[in-house]
Amino acid sequence: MKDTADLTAILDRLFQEGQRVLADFAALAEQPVADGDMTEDVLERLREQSRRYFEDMKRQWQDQAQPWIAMLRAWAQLSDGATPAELMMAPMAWWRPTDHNAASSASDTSRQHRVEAAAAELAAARDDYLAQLQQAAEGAIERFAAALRALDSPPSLRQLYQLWLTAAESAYEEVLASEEFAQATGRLTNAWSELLLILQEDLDGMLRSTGLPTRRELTETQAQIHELRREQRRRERELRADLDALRARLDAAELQPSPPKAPARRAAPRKRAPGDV
Amino acid sequence: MFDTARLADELDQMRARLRQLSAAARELKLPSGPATPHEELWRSGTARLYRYPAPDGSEGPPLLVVYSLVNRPDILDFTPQRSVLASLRETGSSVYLLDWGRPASGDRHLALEDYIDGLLYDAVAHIRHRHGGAPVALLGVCQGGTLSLCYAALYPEHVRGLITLVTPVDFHAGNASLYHLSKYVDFDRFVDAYGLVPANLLNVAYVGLKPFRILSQRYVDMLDIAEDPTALADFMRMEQWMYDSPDQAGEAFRQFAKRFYQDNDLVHDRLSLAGRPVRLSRLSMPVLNIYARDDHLVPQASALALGEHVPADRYRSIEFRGGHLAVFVTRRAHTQLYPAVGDWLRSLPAASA
Repeated sequence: MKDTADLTAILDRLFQEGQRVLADFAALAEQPVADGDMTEDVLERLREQSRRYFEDMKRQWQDQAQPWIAMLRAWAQLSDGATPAELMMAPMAWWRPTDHNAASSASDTSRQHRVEAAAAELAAARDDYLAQLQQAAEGAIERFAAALRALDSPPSLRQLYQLWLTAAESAYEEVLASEEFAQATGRLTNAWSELLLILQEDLDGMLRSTGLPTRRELTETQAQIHELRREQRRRERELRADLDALRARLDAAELQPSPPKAPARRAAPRKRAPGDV
Repeated sequence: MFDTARLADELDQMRARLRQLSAAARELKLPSGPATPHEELWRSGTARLYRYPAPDGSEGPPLLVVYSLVNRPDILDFTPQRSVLASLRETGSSVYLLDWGRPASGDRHLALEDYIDGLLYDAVAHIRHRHGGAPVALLGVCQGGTLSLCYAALYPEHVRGLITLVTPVDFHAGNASLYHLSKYVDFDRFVDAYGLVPANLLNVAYVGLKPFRILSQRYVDMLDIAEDPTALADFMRMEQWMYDSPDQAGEAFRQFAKRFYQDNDLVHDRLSLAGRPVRLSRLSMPVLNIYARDDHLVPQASALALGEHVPADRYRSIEFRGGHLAVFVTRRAHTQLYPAVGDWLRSLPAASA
């Protein structure tokens, strides 16, 4: 993170962010002089910008999810439930006895249904979430309008910005704190998770068919390694405890005064016990 | 109502300042690493234990700083003038930092018990061994404070004193925005889908709490520091740090999101780690709870809830004027807050093995 490349990236981001913020200012400051109520002109322009922004956002999000959903749909529909890898193997199907009765099973239909349901839920969740944000944006414009109408002298650019910031923040935080926004956030997150999981299952099926390790297998292997690490930690801890106990006994033994030395005696030979060898 | 000529003029001035700032920033040489000299003492997996030796080589009672999992601890040591670790060293303690590192794909199964009863336990054991078995003082930062609370509740005999710095305790108290936004998320499906939780998703969530301040006002205010290289360097370090977050080990994230944020198990005495109950009533050591008055991530009420679980004669709280990050980087934190932390540390009963 400390190299020049990253520093350049930060500088570029700073410059872009600065340009973006100034562009927002420009939308206000470079408003052409009109004969009518300029405040209303500015507000109408902001409303128009907001509408365009959310339309663009909706399109962008659709575009992002579209390839995945299209791929999942294609797999589910074209293969009648089979994965692409199974389709690839179709020319070799002559060696497998065909079970005509098993064609188009209930699970194939449920797979297609699951993809369609996930795609529909993602679209609905996205619209729901964006509607909440749009509500915040509209609220911000109305609050900004009220603040502008209350002005008794022309504001500086920074004052104008502070008015906008205060209005936008308060409108957004009101929406953020609503139960509807929490539900929309949860719904969108859950919809993405569901789509990812379906995609991973399909990819795993494809990998399995081609003899490659699947995500599930990798996860299981990682879990096993993790358990081994835990076991190693448990053993190290036991060893350390044993070592500490031994050290403590040794220290205690060294601290005890040595008993007076008795005159050396020749040890009597021990009697052999039965079984001694 | 608008003086468009004046507005256009101001806009031109701001553009000029932005160009000036960009040129000045490109000339800057940012410090390339932590400001305070330190040495690595121990490592396990992605975690590292660092020691920050006193300049005169003296050894004081041990103080272990436990940082959060969700950001990097670099913010504790940006510059010599504003280094939390250097300020803590001034308290006469032997300062250690537990850096959790950056989990990789293979670490997705790391759970909270691995962090608390594994890595933190081992780091404390290592430090105690260095100090003849004496208990350590813990200073937990944000989520690191919550992890430290759990550790201190599991092993009170290892902890001489506990400092929680901007630490959430009651996850539903106050304006609990993060709880609110996480309420309807199915974290089991989420973690199953992602495995290792991408840092950029979490950054989106954090920025989403204050998008206008973080994505707009910061960059407008930035124009005011175009001629101050020190302030500009500080700004850029902060900018670098904000988006340099590690991914999160899925299991630990799942547990933290569900059991702390959604179910609030810590304050309801329902939390257990590896089958062992974690009870705040077992905190038998003195506790210093530092919270930020204008913290939007950890509301005051969330941090102050700790006071309900520790007897008054062992509990003290300090309110710091400012936001979540102010306790790390403001001059006031280093001239007022950390000296007060030093006084509290020196008031702890002498450590004995």
